[in-house]
Amino acid sequence: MSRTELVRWAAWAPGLETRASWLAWAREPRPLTGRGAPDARFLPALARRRCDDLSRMMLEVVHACCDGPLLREVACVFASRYGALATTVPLLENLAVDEPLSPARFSHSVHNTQAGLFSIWARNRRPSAALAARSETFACGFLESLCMLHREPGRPVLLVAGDQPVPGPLAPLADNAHGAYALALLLAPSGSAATLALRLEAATRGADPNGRPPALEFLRWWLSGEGTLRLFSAKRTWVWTREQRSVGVAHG
Amino acid sequence: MRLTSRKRAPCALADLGMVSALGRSPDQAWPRLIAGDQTGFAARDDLVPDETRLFGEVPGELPRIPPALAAYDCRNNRLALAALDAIRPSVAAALSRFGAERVGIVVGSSTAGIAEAELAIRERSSTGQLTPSFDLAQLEFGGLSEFLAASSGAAGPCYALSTACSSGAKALVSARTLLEIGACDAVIAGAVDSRCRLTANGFGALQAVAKDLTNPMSRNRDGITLGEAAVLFLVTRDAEGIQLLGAGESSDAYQMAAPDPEGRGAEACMRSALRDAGVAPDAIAYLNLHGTGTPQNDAMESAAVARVFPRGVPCSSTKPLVGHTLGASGALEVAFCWTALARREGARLALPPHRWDGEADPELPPLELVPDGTWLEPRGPAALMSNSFGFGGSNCALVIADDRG
Repeated sequence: MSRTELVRWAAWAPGLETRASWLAWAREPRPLTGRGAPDARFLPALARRRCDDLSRMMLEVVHACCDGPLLREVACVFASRYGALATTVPLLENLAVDEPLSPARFSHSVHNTQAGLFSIWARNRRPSAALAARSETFACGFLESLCMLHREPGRPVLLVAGDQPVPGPLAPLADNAHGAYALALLLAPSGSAATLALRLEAATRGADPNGRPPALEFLRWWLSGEGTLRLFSAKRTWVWTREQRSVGVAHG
Repeated sequence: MRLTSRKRAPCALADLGMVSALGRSPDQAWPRLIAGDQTGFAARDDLVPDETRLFGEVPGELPRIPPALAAYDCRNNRLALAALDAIRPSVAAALSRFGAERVGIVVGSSTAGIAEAELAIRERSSTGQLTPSFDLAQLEFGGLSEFLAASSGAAGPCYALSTACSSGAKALVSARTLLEIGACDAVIAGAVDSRCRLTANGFGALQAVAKDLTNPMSRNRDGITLGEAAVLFLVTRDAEGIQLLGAGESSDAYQMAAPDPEGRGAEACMRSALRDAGVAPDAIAYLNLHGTGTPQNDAMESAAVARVFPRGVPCSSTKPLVGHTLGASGALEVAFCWTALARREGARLALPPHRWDGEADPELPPLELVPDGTWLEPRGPAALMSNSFGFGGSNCALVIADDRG
């Protein structure tokens, strides 16, 4: 379908806050069940106060993955299944008892909140997208990133995936109980190294058995050096492959 | 003769399902659109405590969700189904021509089924239990795209874009790119947004809601009037018919809930859409403004339009006819442009009028706001532009064109 180069990655989850801890996790993955968020000290104080956990995690991994002029040049794709639900549910609780809404909270309850916060913080005027696709959110985020690379030729694209646990009142309805996490992948037009290809297959064998968030299963695969990753959904299989010679820079 | 983008492969907006306050189909909406009909608003006292608000409401009974898809049953998905039902023959033709797995779905929304989540949380605050019929599939944006896949039989890539008020426009941009990179051979693309208390109260808290009906570009403008809509296009690589000719996207990098007062993001996306379409500003026959009726939007948008179109362009906001349909507005307003092109009689192209109190704001650069009964006779094909600007500074402008003349 389309090829890309994975230039750099950064990830954050409670208890997995360093690169070394993710490399160890990738060798022996364990379920992530925590909640919480990084300090994101690089953000201005007012902006930081208005960030929910997802915004802090996503901006943290962006900060760790890009710096300098790149921050103002990348186009971004933000992929989150539940997005700003942790900010939205308290607004719904206000509405339930006819309490007035906080205007700042309302304006941070949109699905593209992190895209907006990123753009403001980094003074980035490039296009961005924010999407959701239930269990295929990460895969569709990767696909939309390939679309963005096509629309913005010659420029890198930052894919930022993440979620926090479904908030209290709605938690019993969630079909998974993943802990909080965020992952950033800096993607570039395919060049000399670390080339990745994504394709779709109609065949499927049902849901993924390991229960990891697909974004982190992708990271585990990328760090493992294995040649092919298959992520299954009810309708199709997403297949990533890489050229073997890219293994040497997989930790790049 | 035909306008073709210098850079792009053909991208046809081959069919359209559209439900809004102006009716349940392009045929119903068209006479009301060019008449500037403002009777599609309902006075609702159940959205904001102790207040009655006008709301651009889709009239009549909506189609029922089949029992097998009961988990998705919410007003937003019923609206989506009404739009899908209108294009079933062309969707069926695409499914058999290309195969189900080659037909994708990209749909925008800012609300999804938040109205049903409001009821569920309200029930929980009084009884301790969520409403039994509530499911996260109604609330998740991805539930909307998944519902459309299940309802249409399309089995290609399927996702929801949610970038506030630019969602519907960006969904069309992504649909075009999915065709260009070969991920799909046809895409069902558009947007759906529906009545809820969250947006009515949230924009109220931002003091962005008009006391009466929205009055864009007036010196007396005082905010938005909300509305709802569902719009689905079938997007294909066909070279015939109305084409998505150009798209431009930008970010403001300014504030979450207010646009850059200079309109730099708005200007950048309009210029980028013109470049992408390969046409000069003078080639645009009509511009559908974002035109929300807030002091900030209209000030920055009119300044940006005056810079991009120094020789003027006929323009109007159609939000005084249907309300601000938020996540659906980008797709709905392109759909109005599409309908104008589809209803072109010979060279004659009728335009939707700008409904307002007629009191221009002396602080704003003058725009060519379309009066009642306006029609143009463009020589050859006509190119129309639509603007969308959303929370978080998410901007998108689209250019569509017909192949007449």
